[in-house]
Amino acid sequence: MKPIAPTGARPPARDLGRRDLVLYVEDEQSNRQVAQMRLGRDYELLLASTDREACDLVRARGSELYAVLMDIELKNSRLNGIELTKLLRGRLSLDQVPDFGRDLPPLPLVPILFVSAYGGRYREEELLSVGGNKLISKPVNFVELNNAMTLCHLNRLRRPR
Amino acid sequence: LLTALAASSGPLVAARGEPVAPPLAAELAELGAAARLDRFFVFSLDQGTRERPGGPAVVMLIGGTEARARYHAAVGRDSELLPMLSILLTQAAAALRNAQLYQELLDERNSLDDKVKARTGELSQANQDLTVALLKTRESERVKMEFLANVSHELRTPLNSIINLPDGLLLDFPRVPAVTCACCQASFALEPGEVVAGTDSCPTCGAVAGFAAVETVVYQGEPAQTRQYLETVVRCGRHLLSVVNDILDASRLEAGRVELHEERVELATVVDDVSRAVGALAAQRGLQLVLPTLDASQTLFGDRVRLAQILINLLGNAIKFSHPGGRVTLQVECPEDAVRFVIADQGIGIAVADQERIFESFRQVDGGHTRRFGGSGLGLAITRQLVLLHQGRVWLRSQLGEGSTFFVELPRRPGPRTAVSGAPGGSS
Repeated sequence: MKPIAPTGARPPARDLGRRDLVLYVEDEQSNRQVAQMRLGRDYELLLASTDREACDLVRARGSELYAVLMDIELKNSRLNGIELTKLLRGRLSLDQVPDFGRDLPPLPLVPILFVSAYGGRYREEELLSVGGNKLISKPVNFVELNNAMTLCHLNRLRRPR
Repeated sequence: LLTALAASSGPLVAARGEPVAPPLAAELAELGAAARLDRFFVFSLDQGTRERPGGPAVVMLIGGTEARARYHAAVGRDSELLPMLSILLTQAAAALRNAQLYQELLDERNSLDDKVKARTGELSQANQDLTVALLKTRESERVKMEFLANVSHELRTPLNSIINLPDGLLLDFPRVPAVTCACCQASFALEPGEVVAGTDSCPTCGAVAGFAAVETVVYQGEPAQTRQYLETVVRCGRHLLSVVNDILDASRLEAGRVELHEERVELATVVDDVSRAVGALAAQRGLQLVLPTLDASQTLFGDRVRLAQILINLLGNAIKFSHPGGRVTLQVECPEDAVRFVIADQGIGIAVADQERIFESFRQVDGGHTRRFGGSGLGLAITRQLVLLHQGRVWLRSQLGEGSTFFVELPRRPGPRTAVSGAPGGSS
């Protein structure tokens, strides 16, 4: 037995046979790259850089989603992450729904986790009140993110929204 | 006639429509001066004739420059005029004096009113200025917070890549089974087939219980240098992140924007959090970290995350300023209605003269220390602010070269909170 320098513990590997589908809405290319690297091996990752892309992906595969990761401030988008969450939860007032956001399949149960680098600008209670399930801060701690996704699913089973 | 009289000047103008005979005029003038009257008139509307005396004389007095009074009196004959006038003038003077006093009183009251009005005006102006100043302050405070949020975003976004990409690359290195000491978090690679028994003691900290309980995997293998470089990038990124967090934390605390999420907290869970955070650091520096064993009955009303932050800051400092091989201890004492954390090290110590300054923002004992020991220099400032938010106090006992002992005393159940300024802050 010899001492070694400690490093972060690796999250337990998931079953590679059937990977859960995760949608990540993120305008920053470097953050999408990081997510692809760190989540891509355990999840099937759908990446959207704008509200429109997110809506298209939800329309195509919304019913299969395991979780949605949502950046809050989105460049080149009409809706920010909060409004987009309201839209996915069917809580956005009709006059605010853009044309590309009409007739989306409702996502009442899929956990939506906000991922934001704006420390302190958003309060978790406020984000939960629009239909989110959790606030994760950037830089993302992927152990924490994995645990949070699992926990959100457990909570969902225990207490349907 | 009246107009003519009023327009004329001189102490005594007319009596019975004719100029008053000089001797009488002189006497009347004296009387007038004695009664402090500037001007007065004596006249009669009914001048009468030689056979029949005129009607009652009318005396009109004008006293002072401002006060005015009219005094009527009936005077039968010329012979009665002078004594009558004497009485009249005395009375008139008194009346005028009264009128003057009354006038002064009125003036005084008016000027008082004016003063009060002026003062009220000044006050409301001052109030308005204050409101404006307050709004400006709030606005600049808001702008500052907005700026901080943007800085936070700009710093955290690149850190997401800096920390997570190399960390992800490390996952591709071969991993070996290893154990981690539950006490000091030091990791040890296991040889193939090697088994650690529950009775083995940790080579680093000597703890027995729990040493074998945690099994983990640690990355090893060739090329070792690449792995080390990646680990360095991750470590430096995490350090930078902690500095960024400190700066944002300190700014928010100073602006009163931090709100505690208070609940009943088991001290044992806080010590667990603390152990996880600083155990590895102590092991790396070859220090013995002695943490207390607490039972579930020991609780405190406070913010679990912030309580851990207080202890992590103080233990982190103790570890940072210790000599290799030294010992860092955390003790928990329970004086009545309070919990006291005692963090002691055998490190370089702090001169008495520096002991107050170190709680100020951006301070280590001297500029050189920041470079020598790293860190944002904000840890103790944050610690003190967090302790104050918990309505506790923090102090230290130390001598240069003799190690330091920090004390944090928190009430078990804080009293009613005095107003916490600013809007509630969010989790970051």
